[in-house]
Amino acid sequence: MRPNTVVAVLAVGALMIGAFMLYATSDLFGSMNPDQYDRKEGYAVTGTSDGSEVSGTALLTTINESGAYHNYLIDVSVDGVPPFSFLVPFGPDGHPSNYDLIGGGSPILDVYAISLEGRDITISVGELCTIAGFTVIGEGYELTGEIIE
Amino acid sequence: MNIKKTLTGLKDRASLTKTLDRIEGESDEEYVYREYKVSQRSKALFLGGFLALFIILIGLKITQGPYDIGFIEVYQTIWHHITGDIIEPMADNVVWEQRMPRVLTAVIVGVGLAAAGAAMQSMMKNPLADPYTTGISSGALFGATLAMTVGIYIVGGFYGRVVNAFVFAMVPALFIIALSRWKKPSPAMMILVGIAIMYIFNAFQSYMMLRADPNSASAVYTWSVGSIGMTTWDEIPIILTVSAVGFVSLFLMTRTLNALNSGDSYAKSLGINVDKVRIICLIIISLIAAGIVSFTGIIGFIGLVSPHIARIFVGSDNRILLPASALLGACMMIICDMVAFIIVGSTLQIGIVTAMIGGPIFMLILIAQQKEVW
Repeated sequence: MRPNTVVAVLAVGALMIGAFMLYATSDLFGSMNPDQYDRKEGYAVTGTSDGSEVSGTALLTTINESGAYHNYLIDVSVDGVPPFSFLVPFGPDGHPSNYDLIGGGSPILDVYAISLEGRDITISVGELCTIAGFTVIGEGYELTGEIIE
Repeated sequence: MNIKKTLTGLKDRASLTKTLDRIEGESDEEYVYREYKVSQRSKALFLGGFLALFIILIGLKITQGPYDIGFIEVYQTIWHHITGDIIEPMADNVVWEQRMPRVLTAVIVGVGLAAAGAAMQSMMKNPLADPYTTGISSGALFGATLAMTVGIYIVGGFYGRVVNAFVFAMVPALFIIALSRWKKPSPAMMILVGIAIMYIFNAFQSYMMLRADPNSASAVYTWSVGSIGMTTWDEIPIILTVSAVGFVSLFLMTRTLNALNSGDSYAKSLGINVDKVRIICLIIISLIAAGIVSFTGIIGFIGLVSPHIARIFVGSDNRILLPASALLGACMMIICDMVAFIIVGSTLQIGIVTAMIGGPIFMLILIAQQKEVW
């Protein structure tokens, strides 16, 4: 191998090690400052389905799609209602994208609504994109979910 | 050596000149013309292949993520969004608002860096040159960090970070011009000078980060490693404009770059002002690097490796090499982002993956015998 090639190979190796060191440092910084939007929440769900009272649970999980968005997927599981899930993507402006602001204005909660796959969904949003509760009106059922503190 | 044989084989297949049989009664001129046509056709085929690969990769990349979307559904969602006939708002949000900016950033960065690398390698007749190895990206990173952590802007407003990055990217660029005029550096010496410049800028950058508050330092570090996950549609027009203007400008100079690639004296004999062309080229390359680095941090090796691989398939003519490198750079960026997702999910910075994949590929090319590739 020619001396120039050896030097170049060593230099490339040094660049790669440098990049890895930067990653290790950024990872360390990341662990020191955990993402306060990354959360998992449980909800108690009650309501009616075909005239009968029903109850169940819902689970909110954070899904990482883009660094600029905070996405929460809510999986709802209630007896007598087929399980379903809906996505709440909070954009860079801090509001859920595609949802319409229909009320709120109180210091704590804003209320947003959307129609998704035949369901009318309403969510109550608090500080740091916390979803305090939701209502879902579907074909033959009406459900209300409240966050379990 | 196997790698050497593979590279030589690919090169032979790309040119096809050694497999062309002579037709009976064919004159020398006819044979050369036919050889030229076959060679051009094979290059066009490779370009078409890169383009097809690029379109497929975009679809594949957009399917990656926790929200389940199929390959065909990706193109349907994009089409529905363009026509304004949005059927599934959540799929539209995930594809168009969240995944598309990331993929588009990868494409723009790949095109910009690869074109800059190809032009730089031809202009300097140095197979090791690209904005990363010559310290231009580090200069841009320092300028942008200065704006982000200390709040020092040469020009205020939304474009302040890009202007800062451009001005500091010009520092190593001017140093390269001065060094080239002062003495004729070898390719290896040039890369070592670039690394030295990089370390100087990194030292200043580390100092600024030590002075910054922990949250800013954390954000700057994450960005500086090379991150495309934070870009939104608001930033795309700026990166796109800078890269597109840079790419078109370099493409318009491809004939001049071909002349420079043949040597300074040959270029001068054609009436080309070599120094002036180099300065213009380095300004364009610095602009591309500044636009990209300001929003994504440093992403190395794409500008270095893509032209080398493209050269194996389409040869050294910059009129074809530049677009081929750009397409290949975009494909490589998407592949690296897909690999990053497979390894740890969307949080791994792409700069790490490009270094981990691009570095060894570059070493293989170099060891295989750079003379045969160059």
